[in-house]
Amino acid sequence: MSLLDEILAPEAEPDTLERLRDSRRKGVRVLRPGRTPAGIVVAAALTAVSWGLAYLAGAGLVGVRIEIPMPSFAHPAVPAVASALVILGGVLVVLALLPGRPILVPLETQDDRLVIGLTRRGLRRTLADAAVQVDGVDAAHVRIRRTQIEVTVITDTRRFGEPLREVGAAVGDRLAGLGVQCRHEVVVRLRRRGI
Amino acid sequence: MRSHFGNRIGIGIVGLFMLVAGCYAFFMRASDPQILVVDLSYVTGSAWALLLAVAVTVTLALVVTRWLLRALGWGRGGVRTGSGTAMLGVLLKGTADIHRMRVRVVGAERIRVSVICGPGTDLAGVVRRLDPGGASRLRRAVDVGPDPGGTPIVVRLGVRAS
Repeated sequence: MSLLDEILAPEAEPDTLERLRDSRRKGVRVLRPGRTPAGIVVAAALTAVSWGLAYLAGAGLVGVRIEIPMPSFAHPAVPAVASALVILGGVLVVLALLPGRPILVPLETQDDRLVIGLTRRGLRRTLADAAVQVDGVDAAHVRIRRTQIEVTVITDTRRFGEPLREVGAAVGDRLAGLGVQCRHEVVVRLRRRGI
Repeated sequence: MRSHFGNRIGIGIVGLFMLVAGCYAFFMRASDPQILVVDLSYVTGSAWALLLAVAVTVTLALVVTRWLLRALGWGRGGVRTGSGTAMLGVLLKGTADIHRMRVRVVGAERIRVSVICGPGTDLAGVVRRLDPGGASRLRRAVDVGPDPGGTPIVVRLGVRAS
């Protein structure tokens, strides 16, 4: 059930709405990004540094002296390094704390222990396929923005109102049929071929 | 059920450490700039401190190496299950334009399903075949975890270009 359905159906059972919200929250929580690229970069850098430190400490233990010049806080490079540490550290903390956009679009399920996610590219392709099924539409391009699903259809027809409504209905039906758990509004744009 | 959480904990700790270290460097430069950035004289002067430093750095190195391997996918991809894939095939039998399907068991605690379809495939039909009855049949076929009937399943649906 989309946000529009929820608004248009105030008589719906509160339990049903609550169950749908739970389902949406559960899907979003499971499909939240795991920050893998950032994790790989930080873990690789930390691995190199920590094995280097372990090597230095081990060398010191067996009597091999490796001289490392240690600057004081008066060194001219300290402000630049400190600034870099603060900026990078802040970025990492923000990455760790912000939930981020789910990597897959969650679909509505009835089973509590089942989460189904559709790739964003997959959603774009299936919505474009739904738009192309409408009579007179030659091609369709779908963009998923933060709050909108923008469907641009290319057509030769001289009528505007009817194809717009039909494409909107086809895309809305496809979204409702899939039970896509998102609060995007659908915007349809029409382009005449050759313009 | 939650998404993978380890990377967030790791980068949060490292980020906080870097933030504190940067602020400390600014503070020390303003208050007492002649102090060394890191003074290792105590560690190098005592055999016990050096031994402790070796133990700490090697432990840290092992922990972060494990983190790196996990972040690269080691142990998170799971193992393919033939019986699960066969059951998924039975569930999706008759659905047109299915390109690939795969069932994996991750750490005996989660089932990961991947289905790649064509753009014209009835995706709503695929979802209906999995939820709610199909998921239970899949769990019974795979039979994994302490509570096989309640094993979480995460399904990734993809659509290929035409």
